[in-house]
Amino acid sequence: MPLDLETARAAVARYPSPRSALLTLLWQAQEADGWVTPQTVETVAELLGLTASDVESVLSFYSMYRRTPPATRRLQVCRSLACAMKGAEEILEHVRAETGVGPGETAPDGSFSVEVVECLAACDHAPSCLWNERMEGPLDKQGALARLRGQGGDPA
Amino acid sequence: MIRKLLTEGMDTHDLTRLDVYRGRGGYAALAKALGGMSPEDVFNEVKTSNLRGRGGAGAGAAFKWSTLPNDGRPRYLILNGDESEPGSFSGRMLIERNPHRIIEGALLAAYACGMAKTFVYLRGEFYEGYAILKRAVEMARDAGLVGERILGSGFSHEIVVHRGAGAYICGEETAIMESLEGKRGHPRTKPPFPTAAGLYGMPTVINNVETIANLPGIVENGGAWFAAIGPEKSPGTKICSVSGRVRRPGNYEIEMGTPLRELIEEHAGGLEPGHELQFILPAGASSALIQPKDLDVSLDFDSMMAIRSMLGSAGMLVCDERDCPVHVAYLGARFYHHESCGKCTPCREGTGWTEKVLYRMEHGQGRPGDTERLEQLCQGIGGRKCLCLLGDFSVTYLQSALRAFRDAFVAHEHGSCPMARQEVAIR
Ligand SMILES: Cc1cc2nc3c(=O)[nH]c(=O)nc-3n(C[C@H](O)[C@H](O)[C@H](O)COP(=O)(O)O)c2cc1C
Ligand code: SF4
Ligand code: FES
Repeated sequence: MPLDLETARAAVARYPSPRSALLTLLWQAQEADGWVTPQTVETVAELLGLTASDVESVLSFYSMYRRTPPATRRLQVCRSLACAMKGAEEILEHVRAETGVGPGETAPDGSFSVEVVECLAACDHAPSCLWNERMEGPLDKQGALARLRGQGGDPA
Repeated sequence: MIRKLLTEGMDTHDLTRLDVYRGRGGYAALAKALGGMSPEDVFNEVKTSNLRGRGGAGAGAAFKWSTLPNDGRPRYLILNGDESEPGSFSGRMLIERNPHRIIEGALLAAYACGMAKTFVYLRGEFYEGYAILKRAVEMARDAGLVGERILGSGFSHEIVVHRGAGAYICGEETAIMESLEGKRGHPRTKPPFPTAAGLYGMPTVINNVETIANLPGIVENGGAWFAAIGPEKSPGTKICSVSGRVRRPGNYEIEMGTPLRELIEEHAGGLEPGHELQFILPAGASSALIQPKDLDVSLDFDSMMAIRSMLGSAGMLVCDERDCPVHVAYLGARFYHHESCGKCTPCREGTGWTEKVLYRMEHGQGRPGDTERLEQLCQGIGGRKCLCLLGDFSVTYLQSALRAFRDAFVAHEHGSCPMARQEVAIR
């Protein structure tokens, strides 16, 4: 399902300048397709009167836009201070040891991916994570593995 | 002392619902302002209140507003809900659980300053907060509280909820503006300051969401009422986010002037059983640490400055004897290196070197002279040499740790950690 042009135009209209809607349109596209496709880059550029390389340059600055299709299940573990103090890195090591998938990697069958992220403003639940884009915590080794093996509830 | 002004009713009621928020007196301040106060009246109440910004530096809210030029150009209001400082999580709670308070505050600020539009900039990871705040704005619009001729008055105002996409630097006031203009989030040179030339080059005020959430109380009860709460120069309350080695991590709204000891020992339940306080980072990763001897400091902007630290966003990370100050420094350095936007050489190169030196110290490969090397790096990066304060932020904790725990750093030069930490670190 590609970017819905009507929703996109409504977003553009909310800003004093069309280009301001760039991040919003990229979000809309990522929500529709799961990632920002090359087609999205073209469409968004055209909608906003930009070149594809303008869009690329902005896209590459922000870490949350995906440039490849997402895994079915996605675990993003916070590694900043409060979470690292409470064992985030031990969890990531455990996941790597048990599944062979380390931070920044995706299981060969595409069933799950593991990433590290910085402080999620959920330090009171450290170690915290985004599990399929939902904030959760405290995470532990068993919980992390269960989630990745599909025993952690349905992905959004 | 716990004093709930911004979080009042939040534990017992679903304030995200407009009827519930209104049933508890919500939007009464807006009705009061639009029903008989001029914009100047609202401005004057805020001035009398002495409200200071909750986003970091404690700038006077009314003072900032007063620097807007009077030249007829459109003015914009930006609410800073980027909240990416490790250790800070009070804004997320307000956004998710008291969104109408933020909307009402934004409307009051917009009315007082004659803003053309408000943008609320939320960090991208706030998926839930974004949905909640957007829904709250829609509910408010349906009830005539946002949009054209609000509450039947002559005042019209739009609020746009905008989402970032993963970049700590976008919390910096000028980077936010670049980001809102659909560009890479690189800070701008200052001056011009945002009130003179901000978003789209127009006069712009940027305030933290918690700063703004204070406005309904100030307008409803009067600036003098607010000014009388807590210390004269730092009035009001502050939501402190406590994390780390305490029994009850969480957000606690305290009256300004409350002793840090009370916050940690009573409200947050004290240290985890059997452990001892070693130091606290009181305003996230970028603040100078506080040692147990200073635990009786009062939580307000000026008292915290007086002990060479800061209140800032009050994201308090509590560390006990298990937490090696060198390890915490490494975690901070890794964060800042990752988040440096790369525009200024001291920040880009300096945070990289700092991380590298701390990485080897943390991994048993410290070299003689590394402690001094870190001290030199701090001098090279700090001192406001850069376009924005991220460079300075990256050395504030480190410098304080080098002062307070120099021996621990020196021990790491020889491959030993006084806290005998077992190292597992992911690059
Ligand atoms: C690198 C950097 C990151 C910042 N991040 C935030 C943030 O996440 N939230 C915030 O309110 N202020 C942040 N600030 C401070 C803002 O630039 C600005 O001063 C603040 O939003 C003003 O709000 P106030 O006057 O209401 O305190 C940051 C500053 C810097 C230099
Ligand atoms: S100080 Fe660092 S983060 Fe700030 S503008 Fe310079 S390079 Fe970018
Ligand atoms: S440090 Fe992990 S959520 Fe804040």
